[in-house]
Amino acid sequence: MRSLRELWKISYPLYIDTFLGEFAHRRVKNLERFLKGIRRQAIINKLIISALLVTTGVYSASLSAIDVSAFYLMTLFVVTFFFLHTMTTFVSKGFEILYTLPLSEEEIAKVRLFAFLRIFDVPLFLLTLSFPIAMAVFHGVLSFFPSLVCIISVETLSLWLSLKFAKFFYERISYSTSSPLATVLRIVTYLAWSVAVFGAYGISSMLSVLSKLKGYERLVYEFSFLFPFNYAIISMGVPDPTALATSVPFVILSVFAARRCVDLVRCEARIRIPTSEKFEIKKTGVVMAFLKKDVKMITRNPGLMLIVFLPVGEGLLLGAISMNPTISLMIVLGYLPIVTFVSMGIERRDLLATLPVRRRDVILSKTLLGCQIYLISTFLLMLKSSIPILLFPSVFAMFVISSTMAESLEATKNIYASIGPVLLVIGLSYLVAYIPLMFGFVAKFLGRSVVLSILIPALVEMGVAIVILSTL
Amino acid sequence: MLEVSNLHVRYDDLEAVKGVSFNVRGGEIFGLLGPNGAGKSSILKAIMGLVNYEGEIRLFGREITPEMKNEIGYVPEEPILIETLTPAEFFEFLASVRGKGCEKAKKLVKVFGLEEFVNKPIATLSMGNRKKVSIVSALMHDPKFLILDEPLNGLDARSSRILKEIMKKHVEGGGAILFSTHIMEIAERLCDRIAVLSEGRIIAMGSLEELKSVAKVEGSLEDVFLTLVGGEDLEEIIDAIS
Repeated sequence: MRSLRELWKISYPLYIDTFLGEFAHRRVKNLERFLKGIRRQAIINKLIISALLVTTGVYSASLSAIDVSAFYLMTLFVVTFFFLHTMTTFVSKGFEILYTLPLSEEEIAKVRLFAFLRIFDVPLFLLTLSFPIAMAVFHGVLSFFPSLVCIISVETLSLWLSLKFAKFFYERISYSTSSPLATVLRIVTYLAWSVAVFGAYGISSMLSVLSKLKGYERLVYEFSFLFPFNYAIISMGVPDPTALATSVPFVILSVFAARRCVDLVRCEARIRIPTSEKFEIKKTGVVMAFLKKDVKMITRNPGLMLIVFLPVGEGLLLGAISMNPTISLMIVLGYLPIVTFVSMGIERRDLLATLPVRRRDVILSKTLLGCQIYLISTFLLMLKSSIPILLFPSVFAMFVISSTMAESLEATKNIYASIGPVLLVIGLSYLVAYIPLMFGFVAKFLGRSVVLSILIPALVEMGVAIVILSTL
Repeated sequence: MLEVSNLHVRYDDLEAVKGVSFNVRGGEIFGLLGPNGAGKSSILKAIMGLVNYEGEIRLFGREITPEMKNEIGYVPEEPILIETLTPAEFFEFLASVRGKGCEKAKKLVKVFGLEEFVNKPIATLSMGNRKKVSIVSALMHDPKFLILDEPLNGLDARSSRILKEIMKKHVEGGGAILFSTHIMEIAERLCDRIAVLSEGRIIAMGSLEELKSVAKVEGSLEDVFLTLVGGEDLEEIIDAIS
């Protein structure tokens, strides 16, 4: 029987393999350098999330009971969603290699569990240690143990939720059927996911605001996660029986979650993807084929999806609040070059070399994908102002030019190694997108027609882009 | 059908192919035979435009343009696939880009027994099934010229047999195949002409009979090959092992 220390060591390559799985779409020349980068990125990710959780936890502990509750809720959201894409890769892996090693079933189960815990180890360890200490410092030694129970409960619930969501994503979303409905479902789910992540902060703030409103106080107490428990500790110094009793269900739930989590990770081998023997192969146009392929590739990778949906999330958020639509539009435009890098980055050059495909078709498909993202991002802004519509030709030109340049300069091969070409592509994209807006500002200042001042340069840019396309 | 003249392929400081010339005629299977690192795959990659090269490559008397890729079916040694798509989605993408191949892909999926896996993500498929996906994608558009780089590696006996039959039928119909392998028996049975490569150069080329006369050896292709690429010390090594 191997020691737990040995099994912990064995779990490391599995964890790295899980993390590596998120980058499966990339083709690399220098594998050694790539793997080093991946290991470094895994550590950086953990440090970032640790810093966020620890500093927010210590700061919340220094404030009121409601702030601590808000912190619990934020932790629940952050731990659940931040690691979701790594978790999705984890649940997709059977780790068959373990069965070829001289390990017993029990040892294999432990290694799987350790590999799972490695995904969260540093952030959760630091949080479990720092938060109760901070509570003890700010609210007395008595609060150490209850806050330790609270934070462990939150963590176990988060892990369980993360595992459940990851299974759902893998089985139903990432690799569900290839119908258009499935793609729409994937997009809607990712959107909901993004909104949930961004919403964590909103809910945290809302909790504080609601608690101060008369009549809502009780509601917040009842429904805020573990609130009664820590309210009692902070407000009264000593946990009172009623507050403790209302917290018991949360603790029971977290114990159940912990047990389910361990069972799922230890025992469950590879999750089966539902398959059907029926299949259709339907021909479309070349541009549409690339567009469909890109949408599938992006929507099946949570990491890429989150990046591509940054402008969408930002655009819809800015469109929903009463901010100046032109300023909002400028912010959204700032995110758009990301779409070019993702859509060009996922293209396999070796596959393209074997196909009778023209550069024009590839660039046009990337442009149309970018334009779709732009239209979704600015949907709410369009209801408030006509400028996003007037700027559309310019956005089309921006995607044509940035995609062509990114391809020619090989800017998407390794973004970190080719920072010069990357900056050139981003700079030129901004120039193309913002020039018509600058004309608009000048026209407004001079009292001329803003519509024409934006539309004419935008159309000129589009004309140039069409000429470029026709020469490819 | 294919003419390759004075082909050079370089990877940084390493010259993998050193002035290779050969041609492949319609209705024949032309084999590239050589030990690991002899430059077989590099020649095939150069024809497909996957690596930079010097020299001349002409298909149907013309330089290979992107449009002409519709007349080529390529099975690389390491399948070039899109991992996040299912085979069905991948074939649909290829059929759309090439403008043909839907019906043939459906037939080939059945022939190679891929129905069970056609809706699973390619990333989850075994090596053998990935190879089958690669073969279907190379054959589905009925190309005139096939470039097969170790196509039988990883295939089960049934699929190997099917592919060999497809290859025979292909050349009977006037098509041509450029075929790379290091398995002598397969080359001996399938190829009409063979080029033996060593360290990036063709050291002998012709039919099996012609190679035998060049090597001055009677026997199998393996004997001819070992004589040509310098396997004289093999008996000594085998003796030492035993």
